[in-house]
Amino acid sequence: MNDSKISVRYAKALFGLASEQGKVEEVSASIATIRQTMETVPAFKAMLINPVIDTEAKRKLLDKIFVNTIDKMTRSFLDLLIKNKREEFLLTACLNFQNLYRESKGVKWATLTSAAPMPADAVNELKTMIEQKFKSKAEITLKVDPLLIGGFMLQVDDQLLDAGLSVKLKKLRQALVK
Amino acid sequence: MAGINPAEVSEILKKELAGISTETEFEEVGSVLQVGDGIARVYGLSNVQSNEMVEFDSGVKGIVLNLEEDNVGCVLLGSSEKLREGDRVKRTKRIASIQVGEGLLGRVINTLGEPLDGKGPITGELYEMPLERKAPGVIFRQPVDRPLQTGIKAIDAMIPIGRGQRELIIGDRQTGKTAIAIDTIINQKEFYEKGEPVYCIYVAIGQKGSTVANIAKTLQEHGAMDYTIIVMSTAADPAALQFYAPFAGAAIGEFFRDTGRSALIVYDDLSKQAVSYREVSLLLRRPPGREAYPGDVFYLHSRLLERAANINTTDAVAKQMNDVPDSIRHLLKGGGSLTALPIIETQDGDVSAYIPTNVISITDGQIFLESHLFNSGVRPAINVGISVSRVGGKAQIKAMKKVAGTLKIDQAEYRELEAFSKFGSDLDAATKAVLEKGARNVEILKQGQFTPYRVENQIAILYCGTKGLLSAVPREKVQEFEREFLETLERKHSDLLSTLSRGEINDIVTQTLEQVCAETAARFKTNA
Repeated sequence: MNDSKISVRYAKALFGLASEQGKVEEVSASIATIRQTMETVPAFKAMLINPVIDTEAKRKLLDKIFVNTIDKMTRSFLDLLIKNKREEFLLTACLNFQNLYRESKGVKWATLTSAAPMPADAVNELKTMIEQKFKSKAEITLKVDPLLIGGFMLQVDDQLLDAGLSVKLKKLRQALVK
Repeated sequence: MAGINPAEVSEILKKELAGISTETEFEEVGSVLQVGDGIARVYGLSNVQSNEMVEFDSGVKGIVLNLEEDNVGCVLLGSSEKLREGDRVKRTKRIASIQVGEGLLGRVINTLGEPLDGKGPITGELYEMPLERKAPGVIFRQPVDRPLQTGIKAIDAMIPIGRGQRELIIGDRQTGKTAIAIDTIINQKEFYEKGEPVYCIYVAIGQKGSTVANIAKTLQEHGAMDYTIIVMSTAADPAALQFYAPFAGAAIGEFFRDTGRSALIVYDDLSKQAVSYREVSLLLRRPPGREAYPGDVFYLHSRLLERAANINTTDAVAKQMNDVPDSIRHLLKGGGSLTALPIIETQDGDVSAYIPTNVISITDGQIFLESHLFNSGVRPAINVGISVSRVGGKAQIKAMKKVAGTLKIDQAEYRELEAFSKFGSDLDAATKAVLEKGARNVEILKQGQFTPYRVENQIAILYCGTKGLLSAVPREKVQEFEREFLETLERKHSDLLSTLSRGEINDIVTQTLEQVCAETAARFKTNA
């Protein structure tokens, strides 16, 4: 069965309603919060997809978890998913919603990870490079990850430019082992 | 110990470093949404193609099988233990393939082409062959016209196999299916020594490691490993490796086929492959059909077996072949062939189950093995009545065709009368003659394991049987007679045997055969 249609449809419905009522920004922020919660707190996801916990209990738990952190529309979206027993599709629905949001903005969201904070002019240079390559405006989120050792890693949608030192060292090790 | 100059070491390292490409380019990536049971669902990778290899952070490789609206389903070609949700997945932009070359001969490898026999890396030039490849089109094929000698009397006489044919070996467990395949591989030694090798590929799917080790040992002992490659995926391997193993074998076979040589591939067995394909399909949530197999299990086997072919002998035509991988394009040659011997295991003789009927309908004939024959001492336990070869007859050598032409019908008549004769005791002389001859033919067709017969010897002994020259020899002495008869021929009439091996038969030959037969038979008569 092609389950992925389900999450696409829920995401489209939410995005459609949000744009009709002009609440795209709030909903998008809430969806980002939910996605982050799902990715960082495994227990949250486990709770959601647990079939033993009944719908009412899940609702009450959600009320306690998201106090004022998500908007009303997203909250009722969660309720709908729970009511229809489609909790397992929440994460992919969030991902699809964020895709729709980005497409509607016509802006490329890029994540720039570096070992140490990047100077502003370097970031700007990369930004112009992205804008030229993808022929679209770009917004860069900065992240710092010391595991990279040096260099940077740039992800635009599902395209990744890995210029981190750790990857080069890995390649070097593979070549020497051979 | 000689002193090491640190400067030299760093110089070597520097040179090595210079050779490594540190160029960075945009790569397509995705992230793992869900992983388990040898399957991963990946978000992203929006441009990935079906059947493409992907690489996970941990180094494990996967093959993309499902392209869905917002995610892709991959099978893992390794352990899923190190994989975590959120791991990065990279496209390799390469379709799943295997490195093939002459260096594989004599080796035991897995589905990915990695050696498993501890004899070090595969040597020699290697060519990349895709696992999944379209079969050659009609223009590049020609009808089966050369025999593939199995060395088994019952098969070469009544169910002959031609090069490029697909002949199914089907039967219950413990009926000698693998034995027939192994004997056939061993029999190719004669041609290997003559310099016209038939390269053999034995694909073991979902078997015990010890069983495969035994087979490798047997082949080694009979000097058959020199021209044989064993592809194995044991029962402990991931299901994906098991169902891709026959495709890896076919890719190796195609290398020989497309470079103008003959190859023989044994798939042992396709029922287990279908089971592992079912496992993967169900985990990928494809809808189940009959016996819970996915809808495309027929296509799985038909596209695999369709790759067996007898390629046109004209080089110019063969060079135009469709879907040839670039790596071997410059080596293309006509006249090659790939013969397939798929094996199917039935449960309690049920040939009308889903997979057996599918494969029977795909192949160009089948060899049925039956446990009651096996237990009553008829070995190989071939049920001649329902075994057929739809195309092999054209490839049979002339002498064999002439001698064994009526054998199949004779034996059918014998079995009918045999069943009938059990009711009454009074039989007329003609019926008795048929029964006597039939019983002796059954004895002639018996054959020990690992003792393939040369085609000329087969013809000589079958001549005695089909002409009814053995009526004087007691039934239980037929095998002894056969041994002496063939010994005498080899000792005194080697020229006759070489005439037969060329496929010629004439009055002088038949007269000599009859004479030697009568002389040998006379000894048994007096002894009895």
